[in-house]
Amino acid sequence: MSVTESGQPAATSPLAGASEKLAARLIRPAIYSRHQWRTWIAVTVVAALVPLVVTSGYGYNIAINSGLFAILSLGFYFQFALAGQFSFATPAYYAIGAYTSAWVSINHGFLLGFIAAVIVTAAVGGLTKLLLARSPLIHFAIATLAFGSLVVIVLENWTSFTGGDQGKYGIPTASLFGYPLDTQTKQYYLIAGVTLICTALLLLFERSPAQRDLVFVRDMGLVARTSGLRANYLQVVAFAAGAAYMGAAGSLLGATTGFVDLNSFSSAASVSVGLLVLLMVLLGGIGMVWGPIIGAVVLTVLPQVLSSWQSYEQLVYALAILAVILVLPGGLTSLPAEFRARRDKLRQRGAR
Amino acid sequence: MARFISILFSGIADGAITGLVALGIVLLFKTTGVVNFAQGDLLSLGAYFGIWLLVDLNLPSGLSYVMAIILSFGVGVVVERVGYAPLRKRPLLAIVISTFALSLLIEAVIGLIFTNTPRTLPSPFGSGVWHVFGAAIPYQDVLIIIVTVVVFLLIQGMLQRTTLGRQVRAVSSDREAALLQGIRAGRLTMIMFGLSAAVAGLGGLLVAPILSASPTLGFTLMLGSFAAVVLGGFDRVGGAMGAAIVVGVAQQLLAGYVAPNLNEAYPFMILLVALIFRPEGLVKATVGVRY
Repeated sequence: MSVTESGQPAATSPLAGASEKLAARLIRPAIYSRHQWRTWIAVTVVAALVPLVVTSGYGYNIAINSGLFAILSLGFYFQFALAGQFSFATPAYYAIGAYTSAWVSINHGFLLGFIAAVIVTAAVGGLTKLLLARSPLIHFAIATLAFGSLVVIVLENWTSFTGGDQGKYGIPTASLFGYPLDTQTKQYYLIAGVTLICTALLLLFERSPAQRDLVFVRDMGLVARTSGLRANYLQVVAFAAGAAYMGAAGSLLGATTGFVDLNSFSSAASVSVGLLVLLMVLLGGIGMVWGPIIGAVVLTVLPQVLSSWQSYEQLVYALAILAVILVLPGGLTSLPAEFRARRDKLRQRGAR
Repeated sequence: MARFISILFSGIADGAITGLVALGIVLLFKTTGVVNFAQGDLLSLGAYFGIWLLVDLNLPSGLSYVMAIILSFGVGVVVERVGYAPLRKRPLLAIVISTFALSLLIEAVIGLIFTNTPRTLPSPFGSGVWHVFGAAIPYQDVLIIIVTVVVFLLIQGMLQRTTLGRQVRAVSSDREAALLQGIRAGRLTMIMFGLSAAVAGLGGLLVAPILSASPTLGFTLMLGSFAAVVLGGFDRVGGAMGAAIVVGVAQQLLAGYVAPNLNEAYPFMILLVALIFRPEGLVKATVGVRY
């Protein structure tokens, strides 16, 4: 638990702390930095230019997938990095969002389905956190593991809702206000747009006092409570917001592929979706919003390039998580700061 | 009556296996304050060591069992060196994630070497059954129960009566004070990781003849033992073991008399309900978070 000079809890990641001094140097007050918005605009421009490079349907699939995983990872970032709650239930919220959206949008169109998915997953996510509010950290992780498995079992048995083994077909493709998004380019723009809006919302949140309170609660729960913060309320809302992101990703999955089946979420695959998202967030870095996005893009594109991985996928991912945790707890986005810290150290030595 | 007795016995046997995994989790939590998510996969690893030595290499059964347990102990020590020792001073979540990664790693390695097709380990008693009040109880179930009771008593005795056990209890109640008294906590942690892996491996050897071994066998079983550990208390060997038996019997009874198709969902429901109403377990842990 590091505290900056001003007496405020530092925006460290819940995994850092290898050496408190280094961590203290790495902390940039990201909250008040204007660069975040410049970066956001730059990313928007890049995302808008992607269709100039990508022309094939295969390329669009990769781009759409990176967008979906970026939203999932942002949700996980919300829950894990900001609220400090490690949850195994990512695939569960993803699935709940996908099926809710499919069920609503078949009769009422994409937009309502999307909104319903966001609201329902937020409610379910908030409820999980609310009911388990008194559980300590590890108990909570275990409980979400149980919750995730329960959701999968329920979906497997509730065939009238999920369409059973065949999956749910005939989900209308996305359309906005009567304007159908039927080509892959348009769908790509939809997903890129939602990802960017999600990012912008997170950036706004990170600039708000609520983020400071949330990090305070995460790092010094008892102190925060004593100083009058509504710790449970903050954490429930943050967890629900993260779940809502995951639900949005699920809804978009159905709206772009036209069908949802249990294979994308159930037993074996559920470990891999959850695992992939965890790895994306860890690899990108939990120090800032851009980490999960970079992680998501890197880990969707890389396996396509190195397709000979296929059978070693899980092995490689497990090793990668271990390596990141052991060697680079701040993730890829901490590299510049790490280099800067090292350079400063060298300079100091030279001056002496 | 016959049906009830056979359900009861298979429940106790299930609970005993769950209890062996829970025993390993509790032992580690007592010494390190860490929950090892790789515990279940160490169980599958034990089962596959047995299959490899007994079926593939055709070694005599006694020798293969002993060697499988020794190999499991070794893997436990490796898990400590890779997944725990370098991270000891880092926040709890980092260690939890690293043991989770190790669990996936073990699962992936098993899948690559033995493929995903389920395998079975022959039971030392074949498929013989024992008739009690008209109920047919497989000898393997009886063996599981007896071995579990013996292991449980040995570990309890170890904790209460030997120097090693006293050191574990000392570290568990106050790590700093124990270090000042000259207890080598690092070495103790290594031994405990090995020991809990060996217990899990033994569980794998016992369960493989009943449930066929697949790479995900252990992870599924581990979820049940989490329920037991949460109910029984993270630092209570006896409590966790008792809770494991209760969970096993409850699961079999619910599956036998209420709704069989939800069999695998019961441990999760029990766990969630327990955590909602008693967030720190039925018995509050006396050990806090330690580094």
